[in-house]
Amino acid sequence: MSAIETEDLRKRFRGVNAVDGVDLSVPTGAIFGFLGPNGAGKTTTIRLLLGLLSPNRGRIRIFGDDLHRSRKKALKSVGVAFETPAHYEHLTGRENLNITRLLLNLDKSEIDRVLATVELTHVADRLVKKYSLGMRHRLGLARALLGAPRLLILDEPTNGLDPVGIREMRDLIKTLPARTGATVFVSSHHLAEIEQVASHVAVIHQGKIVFQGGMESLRSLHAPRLEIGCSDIAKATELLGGGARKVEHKGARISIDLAAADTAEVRAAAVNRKLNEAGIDVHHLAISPWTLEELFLQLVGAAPAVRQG
Amino acid sequence: MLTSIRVELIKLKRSKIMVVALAGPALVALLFFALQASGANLRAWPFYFFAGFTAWATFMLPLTATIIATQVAQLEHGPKTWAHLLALPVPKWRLFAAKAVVALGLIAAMSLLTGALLAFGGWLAGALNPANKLMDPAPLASLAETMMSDEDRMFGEMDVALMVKHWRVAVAERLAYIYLASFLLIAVQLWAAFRFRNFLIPMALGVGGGFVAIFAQGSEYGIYFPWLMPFNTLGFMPEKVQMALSLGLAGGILALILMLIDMGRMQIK
Repeated sequence: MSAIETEDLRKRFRGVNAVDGVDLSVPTGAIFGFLGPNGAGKTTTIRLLLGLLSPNRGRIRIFGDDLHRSRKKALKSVGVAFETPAHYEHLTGRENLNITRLLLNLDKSEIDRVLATVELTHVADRLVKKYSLGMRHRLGLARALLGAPRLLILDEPTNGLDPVGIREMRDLIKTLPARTGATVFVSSHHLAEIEQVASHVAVIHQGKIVFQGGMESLRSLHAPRLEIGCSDIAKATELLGGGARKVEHKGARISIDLAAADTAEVRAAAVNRKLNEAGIDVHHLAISPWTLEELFLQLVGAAPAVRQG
Repeated sequence: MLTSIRVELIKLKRSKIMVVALAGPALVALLFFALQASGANLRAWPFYFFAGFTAWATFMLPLTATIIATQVAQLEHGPKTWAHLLALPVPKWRLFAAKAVVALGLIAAMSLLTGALLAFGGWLAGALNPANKLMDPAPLASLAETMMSDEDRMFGEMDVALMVKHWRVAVAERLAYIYLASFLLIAVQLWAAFRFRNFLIPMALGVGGGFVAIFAQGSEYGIYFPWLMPFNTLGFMPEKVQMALSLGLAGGILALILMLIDMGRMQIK
């Protein structure tokens, strides 16, 4: 059974389809990355999944329970942390958690358990208004973990965090399925971030899913490129252009699409050797990952229909 | 439901809502203590209470209800916690109902406090200067009886003699009537406070309603104006009192139910 299953999900705002025929299938036990630029429809989809918005069309099932027909049962399996961590600032972290605990009818010991999971025990009795942004994010995650939900929905969990905070949050997310047994649905507009944590991914663009599948399938679509700067660009382009991969002449540099990330270094060395043997001096050789924008161009430009990986 | 109410009470901890809410009863009591202590002797306890209740029902109760309703909603609007709250596996209407119960409870507490502080102010004025002591009018009930004309009875005026004899009951009754007749204005204030994130909208509605009420007192349609209903329960025409009470209470309960249905469908963008 899928943790989340949506069928032709659609939401219109003032005549514009913010979410347009979204079919999601999130496997149980996965860390599912939901990738898309700002305004692509990620947050609207999440709000539909939580029943905060009513869809104009389509169905949502959470662990097989129809959200519309059995909202309470479906949402019992879900914990959520929103993009902007919203808490009662005049209350302590513990008091904030106690509010959700009471509404979920859970044991008091749950508060200490989730505080320990997100490493906030030492500041639990401090007023939230004195928390840093990173602490607020972690308190939001702790709140989502109350009651050990089977599905965790994390909307842009690293938004606004500094590099240290991002790494801490990423490490925490990575360990969640093993520590809690939960399926994690995490949205982001950072391709690299999703690549580091997710086992499965869906890419949303202008309200439509343009890719859905395993992380490996996505990686094969956007294997890194090799950028070359050398003494004779024209000759090098001609020399390297014989292969199946795409070779582009970009100003004073050449860009080659590599077959796969794991063989990138071997391929770079081979290219370097080939150019040297032809008497061309190489002064720049760099393996560079794709940006999210480039990935979208690839996905949307090459295949307007949904690509399944 | 009790858990949801408990949760709302936890949220009030360290919030300034109680301090602001206390201002209404305190100001009414202070004003009438000052009047009584400065020699503007209202002579008998029921007159003193009815004068105080008029100030409470006309202006301070609508203002207190506006502040409490706005604050109860701003507890979620301010930190933007609606999304988290409404994504919980709890019926949405129950979360709003708990807030409404807390608001109604706080306003009931403020009404009782108004009565208690008025009583204390009246006693204190007499204790400071015996000339300003308020008297118990019960022994004068028979005099009141003789003063009431047949014409008064014919036009359905309240039985003043009975009111004088049992003035404590009459005072408590009127305080309860004022509160119950305010249900409609409380429901309207809560609805506006929940619907609009900007607190200025429910505040403007409350202040505007109170302002219009001052001028609507003389209008024949004033009886239908929610902000006048508490004041109208202080009249001496039983029909008018009954009408204000029925419209305020029944209309308030109906408005609260409609509000719960509407808020249960609230979309969080």
